[in-house]
Order: sequence, then structure tokens, then C-alpha cells
Amino acid sequence: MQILLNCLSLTSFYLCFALGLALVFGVMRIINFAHGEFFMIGAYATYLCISTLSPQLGGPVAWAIGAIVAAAVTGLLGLVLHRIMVVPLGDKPLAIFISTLALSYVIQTIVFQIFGPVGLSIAPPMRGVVNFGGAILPASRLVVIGVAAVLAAGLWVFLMRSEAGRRIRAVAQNPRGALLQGIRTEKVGRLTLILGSSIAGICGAAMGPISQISPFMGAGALWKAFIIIIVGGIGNIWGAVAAAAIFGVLDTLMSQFGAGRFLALTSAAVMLFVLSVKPSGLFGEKE
Amino acid sequence: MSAFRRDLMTVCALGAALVVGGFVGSNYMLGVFVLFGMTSILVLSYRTITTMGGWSFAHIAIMGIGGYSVAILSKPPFDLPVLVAIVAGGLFAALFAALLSYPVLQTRQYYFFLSTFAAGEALRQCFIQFREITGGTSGIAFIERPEILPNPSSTLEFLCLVAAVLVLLGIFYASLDASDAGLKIKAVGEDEALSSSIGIDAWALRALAFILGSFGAGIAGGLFATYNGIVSPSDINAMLMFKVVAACVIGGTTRFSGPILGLLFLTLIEEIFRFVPEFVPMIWGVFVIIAILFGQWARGRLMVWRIKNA
Repeated sequence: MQILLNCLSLTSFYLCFALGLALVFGVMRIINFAHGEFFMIGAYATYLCISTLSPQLGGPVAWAIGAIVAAAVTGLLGLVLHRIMVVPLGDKPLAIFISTLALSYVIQTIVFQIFGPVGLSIAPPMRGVVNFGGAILPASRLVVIGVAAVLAAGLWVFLMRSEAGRRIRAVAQNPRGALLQGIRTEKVGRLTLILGSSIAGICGAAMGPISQISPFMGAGALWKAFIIIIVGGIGNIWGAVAAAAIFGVLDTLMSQFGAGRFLALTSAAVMLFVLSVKPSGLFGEKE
Repeated sequence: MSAFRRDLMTVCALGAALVVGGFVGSNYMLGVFVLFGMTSILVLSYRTITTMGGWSFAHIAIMGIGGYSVAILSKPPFDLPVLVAIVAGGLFAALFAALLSYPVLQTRQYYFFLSTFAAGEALRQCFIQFREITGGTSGIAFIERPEILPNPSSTLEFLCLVAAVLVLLGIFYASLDASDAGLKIKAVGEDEALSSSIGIDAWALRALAFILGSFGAGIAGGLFATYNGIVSPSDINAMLMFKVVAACVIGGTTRFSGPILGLLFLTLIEEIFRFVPEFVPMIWGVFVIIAILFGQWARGRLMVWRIKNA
């Protein structure tokens, strides 16, 4: 039971982190290298909100406001990113990749200057632990699981049941066809980037209370998100969900049975194996 | 003057400039020159990989293979001469690239950077985790300088060695560039579908570029290890990877002079802001963004100008 809960909690974290990246990648075929930094900014925004508001409003309310602020700030960043980089560089994935990589260093340095290099701790909005049939789970991890579930479900409903979501899917399937149907692809791209970035910000808000926050927290988790996207398959958001679950379970089991040191090797081996057998990923369609 | 000759001139001039600079410069400058020479080997070998149209992000991790090979092979039980160990390190790096090339080169464009980035990161984690072989986070210390140097503690002699290696590898890469295979690699980088249609084995040539470029990274890693006397996972840092990529972005990769000038520019920034090192990545980042956006804008203007004056 404890193992199951740990699997769920790790899967939720991977899912949170990779979901926004997979959405942006799936629709626009661009990699935002600064995604990890957006996540980090979300965590810092939450930290500021909680440290200023929690005495008056109490932890949970302050955290909720923090999450909203985090989403707003990172969404705005996504908008700016779209305006200054994605639009001018349009169909040059490499140029976008490298310029967002450069952007991630700029953001890291700025945050480093403002808050210092030392990790900060956010007071968890929910204290205590929850018992599930003899297994324990810190309440703040429950928040992450909840956030991941809500985000994934919300995204599904949005994509499948709303007008804007349909447009996004149309562009993801066939940008030119969508354009011919009168869909403004640039607008859709902007919306996608704002959404993906906001998701990163919310995840930062959810993950912040669990681990220390530092200017470099985003970069450390990014490579795993890349592996998840690759294994999940090109342009397939649900593939990323499945891959997050695969790695969540695999990594938890390995840590549980004392093979934690082989984690990176195994993840890379899984990725390389999938690439050898099916270059478009497990659930990807041929490009 | 042919492109091949120009590239040869570039590396020879660079090698000579390093040595001359080493003779007249201060002790501090000596260190800067050595680092510049070793990083030049990195960017030149990286340029060879980029000619096939893929930008790898595993270059620095593969460099680490060279460093660790030298650390392990130059100590008991192997006790190889350091120079032999450096060459072996280059070969091991090439071997690793060869193993990686089948899965990774199945991919194009974004998938290629993602998969090489993830593979490089996983390799770095392995250097940390397998403590028995690699010494974990502290790495392996007390690596000797090459025995062929009369006075191992002299930085100037080491600089001459670096310059010699740089020129040799430069000649090798320039010859590759001018050779039949090199031209085909460029063709594959320009347009893979078209190259395949006229019977070029695209995959093999991309693998060749990747493997030969990684060989240079391994050699550079060996030089770094023997120069610092220690190799550790912190050598494989994202900043260095960014520096190499940024040098190629800012200078362009058409000729050898591009990445070298790009690297020169980044090194100048690094030296100017020596007293506030924490700002260097940001300034590099800003310049890379400017270079990319400006290049795009300039190409657009050029197109308009051509249409108007057609």
C-alpha cells in the first residue's frame, strides 16, 4: 500500500512537470527549455504569497492565492515568450530550443540575484499526514496528487469538449489544414503556450512546499521530463501521461528495492530502447 | 583560396597565437590560453557534429568519458602513459557515441536534442552513482601531466601540447570536411530526403560525423583532466555545454573561423565580467538570443531587398 502511494505521488510529480511541456510540444512542435524555470518561478511566486499572506489568511488560502498568482505570472511569461521568440522564429525548432535555453540562464541569474542561491523552504499549507489502510502520506503530497489529477482531467475536458480545445487539437493534427479551415494558428499557438506555462507555474506552486526551492530546481527535473515526452510519443499528451505513470512506478520500485543508483541509467536505457524500436515513441504517430 | 585552406590557416593561426601569447602573457593569461585552446578543440569537434544537421547536447558528457578514461587508465593497475591514455579516452568517447548512434540517430530535429540531452544527463548521473569506478561526486584526483613534457608543472609547456593537439585535430577535421565523405555529410545535413534519393547512406554518414566529433570531445576531456589533475562530475556542467553551443550559434558553423570567433567573444565577456561571475551566464544568454533573433530578422530583410531589386 505504501509503495502504491509512493508510485502515485511520484507519477503525479512527473505528470505535473511534463504535462505543460507535452502540450506545447504536441501542438506546436517546439521545446521550451525554460519550462523548468517557469516551474521555478511558480514556486517562488507561491513562496512570496505565502510568506506575506499566510499570517492574515491562514496557510491553505494563502497557498491557493499563491497558485493563482503563479499561474498568472507564468502564463504572462508564456505570452511574452510567444511574442518575442516563437512568432519570429516560427518554423525553426533548433533556434527556438537554443534561445529558450539561453532564456533559462537569464531567468536563473535574475532569480539568483533577487533571492540568493540558497534554497528556501515554503511552509506547507496542509500539515500532518493522511492514513490510507496502514500507509502514510504527507498531506502536501496529497495536494500534488490532487493538482495533477485536476490538471490532467481539466486539460482533457478542455481539449475534448470546448471550442478552443478543438481548435488546439486541429492545429496539433494538421496545422495547414487548420489554417485552411479558418483557424488562426498563431492565436492557438499563443493560447497553448500560455496554458502550458501556467501549468508549469501551478506545478511549481504544488511542488514548492515539498522540496526546497532554489534558482536551479527547474533544470534538475527537466531531463526526466524530456525522457517522458520521448517515451510517451511525439505530439501525444496522453502518451506523456502514460509514460509518467511508467516512470513513476519504475522509479519508486527501484528506490524501494535498493537499486536507486541505477535510476538514471535505467531511464536512459528505456528511452534508447524505445527509440531503437519505435522512434516516434510508444504512443506516437508517424510524422 | 579554397575553404579547406582557409580552415587550415584558421587552426594553425590559432595554435600559433596561443603559443606566442603564452610566451609573452602573464601567468594568469597562460591559464586563460590553455582553457581557450582546450575549449577550441571542443567547439571544432562540435562543429563537425553540427554539419550533419543535428545539434547534440551530449557533447560535454561524452567529453567526460575522455576525462574519466585518462584518470582510470593512467593509474594502477593499467599505468598507461598519459598521452596514450588521452588517445584511448578519445577512442572510448567515439565508441560510446557509436553505441548511442543507433537509437539517437533514429531521431531528427527536436527529438535529437531531447534524446542527446537526456542521454548526456544520464551519463553524468552514472559518473556520480558508480562510486567504485569513478569516485562518486568527488571524482578522481592526482592525475599526472603527460610524461613527454620535460617539466610537468610548467603551464607553458602544457599550452604548447594543447596547441599541437588542436592543430592536429584541426587538420583532421578540415580534411574530413573537404573529403568526399565530408561533402556528403553536409549534403545530408542540408536535405536528408534528397541525399537519400541519390543513393547516399544518410544514417551511416550522420553516425560518422557524430562518432568523429565525439572523438575530439574525448581528447579534449583527457586534456582537461590532466591539466586540472582531477576529474569529477562537476566538470560536466551545463554552462560548458551552453558555451560550446553558444559559440557555434554566435559565430555560425559554415567555416572553422565561426565557432572560434564565437568562443573568443564569449571568453572576452567572461574575462571582462571576471569579478561578477554569476552574471556571465545571463550575459551569454542575452547575446545568444540577440544573435538568433537578429539573424532571423536580417535574413528576412535580405529576402525583401532581393525581391525589391530583382
